Amino acid sequence: MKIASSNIENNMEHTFDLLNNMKEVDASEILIHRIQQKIEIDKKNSISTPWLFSIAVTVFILLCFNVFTVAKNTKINDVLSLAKNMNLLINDNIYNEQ
Amino acid sequence: MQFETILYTYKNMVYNLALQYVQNIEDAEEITQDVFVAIHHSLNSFKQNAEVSTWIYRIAINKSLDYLKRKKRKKRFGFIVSIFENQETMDVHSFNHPGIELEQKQTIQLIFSALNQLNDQQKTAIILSKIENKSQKEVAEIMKLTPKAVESLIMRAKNNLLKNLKNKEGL
Repeated sequence: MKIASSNIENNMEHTFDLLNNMKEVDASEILIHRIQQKIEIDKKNSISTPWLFSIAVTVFILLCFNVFTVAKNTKINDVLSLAKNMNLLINDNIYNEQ
Repeated sequence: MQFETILYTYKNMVYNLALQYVQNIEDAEEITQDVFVAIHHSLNSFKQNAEVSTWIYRIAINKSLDYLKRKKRKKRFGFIVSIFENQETMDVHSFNHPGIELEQKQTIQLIFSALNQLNDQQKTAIILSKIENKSQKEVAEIMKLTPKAVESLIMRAKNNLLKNLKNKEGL
Protein backbone atom coordinates (compact mmCIF):
# COMPACT_ATOMS: atom_id res chain seq x y z
CA MET A 1 0.00 0.00 0.00
CA LYS A 2 2.83 2.34 0.98
CA ILE A 3 4.73 1.62 -2.25
CA ALA A 4 1.60 2.22 -4.29
CA SER A 5 0.91 5.50 -2.55
CA SER A 6 4.48 6.75 -2.99
CA ASN A 7 4.25 5.96 -6.72
CA ILE A 8 1.11 8.02 -6.98
CA GLU A 9 2.80 10.82 -5.04
CA ASN A 10 5.73 10.84 -7.48
CA ASN A 11 3.56 10.72 -10.57
CA MET A 12 1.29 13.48 -9.37
CA GLU A 13 3.97 15.79 -8.03
CA HIS A 14 4.62 17.40 -11.41
CA THR A 15 0.90 17.71 -12.12
CA PHE A 16 0.25 19.52 -8.85
CA ASP A 17 3.31 21.73 -9.38
CA LEU A 18 1.77 22.91 -12.63
CA LEU A 19 -1.56 23.65 -10.94
CA ASN A 20 0.25 25.40 -8.12
CA ASN A 21 2.13 27.68 -10.50
CA MET A 22 -1.01 29.16 -12.00
CA LYS A 23 -1.13 32.85 -11.27
CA GLU A 24 -3.85 34.44 -9.17
CA VAL A 25 -6.31 36.44 -11.25
CA ASP A 26 -7.83 39.71 -10.05
CA ALA A 27 -11.59 40.07 -10.13
CA SER A 28 -12.28 42.97 -12.49
CA GLU A 29 -13.72 46.29 -11.34
CA ILE A 30 -16.62 45.74 -13.77
CA LEU A 31 -17.49 42.53 -11.94
CA ILE A 32 -17.35 44.29 -8.54
CA HIS A 33 -19.57 47.05 -9.89
CA ARG A 34 -22.01 44.45 -11.23
CA ILE A 35 -22.15 42.75 -7.82
CA GLN A 36 -22.79 46.07 -6.08
CA GLN A 37 -25.58 46.88 -8.55
CA LYS A 38 -27.17 43.46 -8.02
CA ILE A 39 -27.06 43.96 -4.25
CA GLU A 40 -28.72 47.38 -4.61
CA ILE A 41 -31.52 45.89 -6.77
CA ASP A 42 -31.99 43.08 -4.23
CA LYS A 43 -32.14 45.62 -1.41
CA LYS A 44 -34.84 47.60 -3.20
CA ASN A 45 -36.80 44.43 -3.94
CA SER A 46 -36.52 43.24 -0.36
CA ILE A 47 -37.88 46.59 0.83
CA SER A 48 -40.80 46.73 -1.62
CA THR A 49 -41.82 43.06 -1.30
CA PRO A 50 -43.13 43.24 2.32
CA TRP A 51 -44.97 46.46 1.49
CA LEU A 52 -46.66 44.93 -1.54
CA PHE A 53 -47.54 41.86 0.51
CA SER A 54 -49.07 43.90 3.34
CA ILE A 55 -51.06 46.02 0.87
CA ALA A 56 -52.37 42.86 -0.82
CA VAL A 57 -53.36 41.37 2.55
CA THR A 58 -55.15 44.59 3.60
CA VAL A 59 -57.10 44.74 0.32
CA PHE A 60 -58.07 41.08 0.74
CA ILE A 61 -59.27 41.64 4.33
CA LEU A 62 -61.29 44.71 3.28
CA LEU A 63 -62.89 42.77 0.43
CA CYS A 64 -63.80 39.89 2.75
CA PHE A 65 -65.24 42.33 5.30
CA ASN A 66 -67.26 44.06 2.60
CA VAL A 67 -68.67 40.82 1.27
CA PHE A 68 -69.51 39.69 4.80
CA THR A 69 -71.23 43.00 5.64
CA VAL A 70 -73.29 42.95 2.43
CA ALA A 71 -74.33 39.39 3.10
CA LYS A 72 -75.20 40.19 6.70
CA ASN A 73 -77.23 43.28 5.72
CA THR A 74 -79.07 41.36 3.04
CA LYS A 75 -80.01 38.70 5.55
CA ILE A 76 -81.18 41.26 8.12
CA ASN A 77 -83.17 43.10 5.47
CA ASP A 78 -84.77 39.83 4.38
CA VAL A 79 -85.74 38.96 7.94
CA LEU A 80 -87.05 42.46 8.57
CA SER A 81 -89.18 42.48 5.45
CA LEU A 82 -90.47 38.99 6.28
CA ALA A 83 -91.36 40.15 9.76
CA LYS A 84 -93.02 43.21 8.34
CA ASN A 85 -95.09 41.08 5.94
CA MET A 86 -96.03 38.68 8.73
CA ASN A 87 -97.00 41.56 10.93
CA LEU A 88 -99.19 42.96 8.17
CA LEU A 89 -100.79 39.56 7.69
CA ILE A 90 -101.44 39.19 11.37
CA ASN A 91 -102.92 42.65 11.46
CA ASP A 92 -105.10 41.81 8.44
CA ASN A 93 -106.31 38.66 10.21
CA ILE A 94 -107.12 40.64 13.32
CA TYR A 95 -109.07 43.14 11.26
CA ASN A 96 -110.87 40.34 9.44
CA GLU A 97 -111.78 38.60 12.68
CA GLN A 98 -113.08 41.83 14.07
CA MET B 1 -18.27 42.88 9.46
CA GLN B 2 -19.47 45.23 6.72
CA PHE B 3 -20.47 43.73 3.37
CA GLU B 4 -18.24 46.13 1.42
CA THR B 5 -15.21 45.04 3.49
CA ILE B 6 -16.01 41.38 2.81
CA LEU B 7 -16.45 42.08 -0.91
CA TYR B 8 -13.09 43.82 -1.27
CA THR B 9 -11.22 41.36 0.98
CA TYR B 10 -12.49 38.13 -0.54
CA LYS B 11 -13.35 39.04 -4.17
CA ASN B 12 -10.17 37.49 -5.59
CA MET B 13 -10.37 34.42 -3.37
CA VAL B 14 -13.94 33.67 -4.52
CA TYR B 15 -13.23 34.47 -8.16
CA ASN B 16 -10.13 32.26 -8.32
CA LEU B 17 -11.86 29.39 -6.53
CA ALA B 18 -14.74 29.58 -9.01
CA LEU B 19 -12.21 29.59 -11.84
CA GLN B 20 -10.71 26.31 -10.59
CA TYR B 21 -14.16 24.72 -10.77
CA VAL B 22 -15.38 26.04 -14.13
CA GLN B 23 -12.12 27.14 -15.87
CA ASN B 24 -14.03 29.84 -17.68
CA ILE B 25 -14.08 33.62 -17.10
CA GLU B 26 -17.80 34.23 -17.77
CA ASP B 27 -18.95 31.33 -15.60
CA ALA B 28 -16.55 32.25 -12.79
CA GLU B 29 -17.87 35.82 -12.83
CA GLU B 30 -21.44 34.60 -12.61
CA ILE B 31 -20.58 32.30 -9.68
CA THR B 32 -18.71 35.14 -7.91
CA GLN B 33 -21.79 37.31 -8.28
CA ASP B 34 -24.04 34.54 -6.89
CA VAL B 35 -21.67 33.99 -3.97
CA PHE B 36 -21.65 37.63 -2.89
CA VAL B 37 -25.42 37.93 -3.24
CA ALA B 38 -25.74 34.86 -0.99
CA ILE B 39 -23.25 36.38 1.47
CA HIS B 40 -25.26 39.61 1.54
CA HIS B 41 -28.47 37.67 2.19
CA SER B 42 -27.09 35.64 5.08
CA LEU B 43 -24.64 38.11 6.59
CA ASN B 44 -26.97 38.85 9.51
CA SER B 45 -27.47 35.18 10.30
CA PHE B 46 -23.75 34.39 10.17
CA LYS B 47 -22.55 33.23 13.59
CA GLN B 48 -18.93 33.81 14.46
CA ASN B 49 -18.46 30.07 15.25
CA ALA B 50 -16.46 29.58 12.07
CA GLU B 51 -13.96 31.94 10.48
CA VAL B 52 -15.35 34.28 7.83
CA SER B 53 -13.04 32.83 5.18
CA THR B 54 -14.18 29.26 5.97
CA TRP B 55 -17.80 30.35 5.71
CA ILE B 56 -17.14 32.10 2.37
CA TYR B 57 -15.23 29.06 1.06
CA ARG B 58 -18.23 26.86 1.85
CA ILE B 59 -20.63 29.20 0.04
CA ALA B 60 -18.29 29.48 -2.96
CA ILE B 61 -17.86 25.70 -3.21
CA ASN B 62 -21.60 25.05 -3.00
CA LYS B 63 -22.40 27.74 -5.56
CA SER B 64 -19.73 26.43 -7.96
CA LEU B 65 -20.96 22.84 -7.71
CA ASP B 66 -24.60 23.97 -8.12
CA TYR B 67 -23.62 26.01 -11.16
CA LEU B 68 -21.88 23.02 -12.74
CA LYS B 69 -24.93 20.81 -12.11
CA ARG B 70 -27.22 23.43 -13.67
CA LYS B 71 -24.92 23.71 -16.66
CA LYS B 72 -24.81 19.93 -17.14
CA ARG B 73 -28.62 19.85 -17.10
CA LYS B 74 -28.75 22.67 -19.65
CA LYS B 75 -26.22 20.89 -21.84
CA ARG B 76 -28.29 17.70 -21.77
CA PHE B 77 -31.44 19.66 -22.62
CA GLY B 78 -29.58 21.51 -25.38
CA PHE B 79 -28.51 18.19 -26.85
CA ILE B 80 -32.10 16.93 -26.94
CA VAL B 81 -33.26 20.19 -28.55
CA SER B 82 -30.48 19.96 -31.13
CA ILE B 83 -31.66 16.46 -32.11
CA PHE B 84 -35.16 17.74 -32.81
CA GLU B 85 -34.13 21.03 -34.37
CA ASN B 86 -31.17 19.59 -36.29
CA GLN B 87 -28.75 22.13 -34.83
CA GLU B 88 -25.18 21.73 -33.64
CA THR B 89 -24.72 21.64 -29.87
CA MET B 90 -22.89 24.58 -28.39
CA ASP B 91 -19.81 23.78 -26.36
CA VAL B 92 -20.97 25.14 -23.02
CA HIS B 93 -17.82 24.23 -21.15
CA SER B 94 -15.20 26.11 -23.10
CA PHE B 95 -11.79 26.22 -21.44
CA ASN B 96 -10.73 29.80 -20.79
CA HIS B 97 -8.62 30.01 -17.61
CA PRO B 98 -6.85 33.38 -17.40
CA GLY B 99 -4.31 32.20 -14.81
CA ILE B 100 -2.47 29.87 -17.19
CA GLU B 101 0.61 30.67 -19.24
CA LEU B 102 0.10 30.05 -22.95
CA GLU B 103 2.85 27.41 -23.24
CA GLN B 104 1.28 25.33 -20.43
CA LYS B 105 -2.29 25.72 -21.60
CA GLN B 106 -2.62 22.33 -23.29
CA THR B 107 -1.10 20.39 -20.39
CA ILE B 108 -3.16 22.14 -17.75
CA GLN B 109 -6.31 21.81 -19.85
CA LEU B 110 -5.69 18.05 -19.88
CA ILE B 111 -5.19 18.02 -16.10
CA PHE B 112 -8.39 19.98 -15.56
CA SER B 113 -10.40 17.71 -17.83
CA ALA B 114 -9.17 14.76 -15.73
CA LEU B 115 -9.96 16.70 -12.55
CA ASN B 116 -13.47 17.44 -13.81
CA GLN B 117 -14.14 13.70 -14.01
CA LEU B 118 -13.70 13.29 -10.25
CA ASN B 119 -16.72 13.35 -7.97
CA ASP B 120 -17.60 16.61 -6.20
CA GLN B 121 -15.89 15.75 -2.91
CA GLN B 122 -12.65 14.52 -4.46
CA LYS B 123 -12.52 17.49 -6.80
CA THR B 124 -13.04 19.92 -3.90
CA ALA B 125 -10.38 18.19 -1.81
CA ILE B 126 -7.83 18.47 -4.64
CA ILE B 127 -8.69 22.08 -5.45
CA LEU B 128 -8.43 23.15 -1.81
CA SER B 129 -5.29 21.24 -0.92
CA LYS B 130 -3.30 21.37 -4.16
CA ILE B 131 -4.37 24.61 -5.86
CA GLU B 132 -5.50 26.76 -2.94
CA ASN B 133 -2.68 25.32 -0.77
CA LYS B 134 -4.87 24.72 2.27
CA SER B 135 -3.63 22.46 5.03
CA GLN B 136 -5.43 19.19 5.72
CA LYS B 137 -6.92 20.72 8.88
CA GLU B 138 -8.26 23.71 6.95
CA VAL B 139 -9.68 21.48 4.21
CA ALA B 140 -11.35 19.36 6.89
CA GLU B 141 -12.90 22.43 8.46
CA ILE B 142 -14.18 23.81 5.15
CA MET B 143 -15.57 20.44 4.04
CA LYS B 144 -16.91 19.61 7.52
CA LEU B 145 -14.93 16.36 7.63
CA THR B 146 -12.29 14.91 9.94
CA PRO B 147 -8.62 15.38 8.94
CA LYS B 148 -8.35 11.58 8.59
CA ALA B 149 -11.28 11.52 6.18
CA VAL B 150 -9.69 14.33 4.16
CA GLU B 151 -6.42 12.42 3.99
CA SER B 152 -8.05 9.34 2.53
CA LEU B 153 -10.22 11.48 0.25
CA ILE B 154 -7.13 13.16 -1.21
CA MET B 155 -5.43 9.78 -1.60
CA ARG B 156 -8.39 8.38 -3.53
CA ALA B 157 -8.66 11.58 -5.56
CA LYS B 158 -4.98 11.38 -6.57
CA ASN B 159 -5.42 7.76 -7.52
CA ASN B 160 -8.44 8.51 -9.70
CA LEU B 161 -6.83 11.59 -11.19
CA LEU B 162 -3.83 9.56 -12.24
CA LYS B 163 -6.11 6.94 -13.82
CA ASN B 164 -8.06 9.66 -15.67
CA LEU B 165 -4.84 11.27 -16.87
CA LYS B 166 -3.50 7.95 -18.15
CA ASN B 167 -6.76 7.35 -20.01
CA LYS B 168 -6.61 10.82 -21.57
CA GLU B 169 -2.96 10.49 -22.55
CA GLY B 170 -3.74 7.11 -24.08
CA LEU B 171 -6.36 8.63 -26.36
